[in-house]
Amino acid sequence: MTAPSPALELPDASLVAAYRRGDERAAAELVRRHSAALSRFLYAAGAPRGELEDLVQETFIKAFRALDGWRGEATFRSWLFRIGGNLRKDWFRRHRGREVVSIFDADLRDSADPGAEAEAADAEERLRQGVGTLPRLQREVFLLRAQQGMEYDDIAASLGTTPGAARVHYHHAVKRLKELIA
Amino acid sequence: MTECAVLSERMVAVAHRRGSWSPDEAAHLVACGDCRAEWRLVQAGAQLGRDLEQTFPAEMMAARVMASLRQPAPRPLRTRAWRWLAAPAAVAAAIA
Repeated sequence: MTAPSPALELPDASLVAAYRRGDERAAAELVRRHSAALSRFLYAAGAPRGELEDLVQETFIKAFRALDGWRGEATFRSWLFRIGGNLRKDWFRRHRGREVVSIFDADLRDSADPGAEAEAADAEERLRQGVGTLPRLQREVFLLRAQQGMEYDDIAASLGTTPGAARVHYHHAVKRLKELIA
Repeated sequence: MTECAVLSERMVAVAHRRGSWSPDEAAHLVACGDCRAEWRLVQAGAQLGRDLEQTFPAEMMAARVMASLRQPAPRPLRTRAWRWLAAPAAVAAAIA
């Protein structure tokens, strides 16, 4: 049995510092740590499932090549999500009018109770579509807060706004989503 | 701060299991339709795309990202500058 990598115990800032010193394992650990959450965020923000891996990969490459842009005001994760959000926006601009929702998207889960699963998938899709209709800041603040469980300070730092403004965006988003999916 | 506002502030923490409802708060949720609707929305938001968390190939992604980072970064295109220089150079080469 091999000993667990010490990188597993380190905070993100230490891994970033290690990667800056040339330790590739630190970067790989950051990808392992954040890629699944990033894919969830991008999916909920409207990215098709079939594009998630490429978008996640592109986000990390861009982030690692621009590490000087992360000065630690926001968490590494929220900074990463900001880059991912920008790439998702670029992707939509490039593919405007060509988005295809795969008929297989709803069939990816194994299901013990197909009826309940279908209902849950339907509710999730309605919420996802509702989130997609929100203005960008409302959408990102809602996802960072409700989906990712982040605090307003961190959200504000990653989006370049104030915690008070982030709170206002969140409550506007909640109000609109309650109306949309009621 | 109203009771609804207090609950609204705590919903994300409870949905992400960083807290739980007190008996009074739970009773308010039962009685207040607006708070109940918001709580359902926050819970659904916390679950949105949850299956990806389990199925995303993080290890493979780490390998892909590291392989890409070992490649040199693409150089930015400097189209306008080199076009202005290239045209006279091409003319000069043709004359010579």
